[in-house]
Amino acid sequence: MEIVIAWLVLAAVSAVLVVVVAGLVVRPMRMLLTANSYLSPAALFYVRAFVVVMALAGLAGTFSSDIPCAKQASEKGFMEWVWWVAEGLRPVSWAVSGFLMGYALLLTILYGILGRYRDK
Amino acid sequence: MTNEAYLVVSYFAAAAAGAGLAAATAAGLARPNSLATAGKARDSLGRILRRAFPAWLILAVAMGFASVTYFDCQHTNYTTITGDYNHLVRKTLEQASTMSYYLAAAIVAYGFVLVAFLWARARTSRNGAA
Repeated sequence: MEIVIAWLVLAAVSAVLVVVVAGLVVRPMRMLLTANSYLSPAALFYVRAFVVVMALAGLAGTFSSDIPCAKQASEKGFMEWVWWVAEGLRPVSWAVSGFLMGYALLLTILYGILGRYRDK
Repeated sequence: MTNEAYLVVSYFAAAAAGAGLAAATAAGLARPNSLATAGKARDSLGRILRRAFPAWLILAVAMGFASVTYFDCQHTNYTTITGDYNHLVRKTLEQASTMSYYLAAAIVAYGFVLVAFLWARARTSRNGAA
């Protein structure tokens, strides 16, 4: 039972992390992608894809946390479960930051190529 | 439920969940992808991208699913694999994680393909050869 509660706490913390990161980036991304008519048709795709990618990164990180075996789980105290959740956040943070950097690179290349054009 | 029954159920359930996730993602991004690749200029290329996108995502998930092996140093045959319930649970979670990673990576990779498409379209329309 404890493992289910701990896993749900980890999933909730991961979801909050993903929502905060996505919330910080989505609005400036939308502004960047409406700079000219060459970028704007793809704005909805890139914004929506970013939200999906962040959610998948959070999911992937949460699922990759190590599950203790039944004997170990029954012997864990409260703080050990807190440590387990904290340890589980490492792959989540890694995945979210890795994909965030990848997406930042993608947007930089996109803007570098198409952002210089001005509408006629 | 026996360990062997758990293995069968979790293996096919993970495969179905991965396929469903890829299909739902493709459906959710279908309209934005159509908007991004629509237009007269480079129309056939846009059509190729629109049709390839769902297959691209499903193949990425299939690759993630297939990349997880149940064999390792402690589990060298079917009997040792089905004898360890924790191992089966870990592998199911690993499959879910890997499928999510591959799907996210496939979307980002498609984003780079779309950059090339948008650039080609912008160049064509600026040269007046639409």
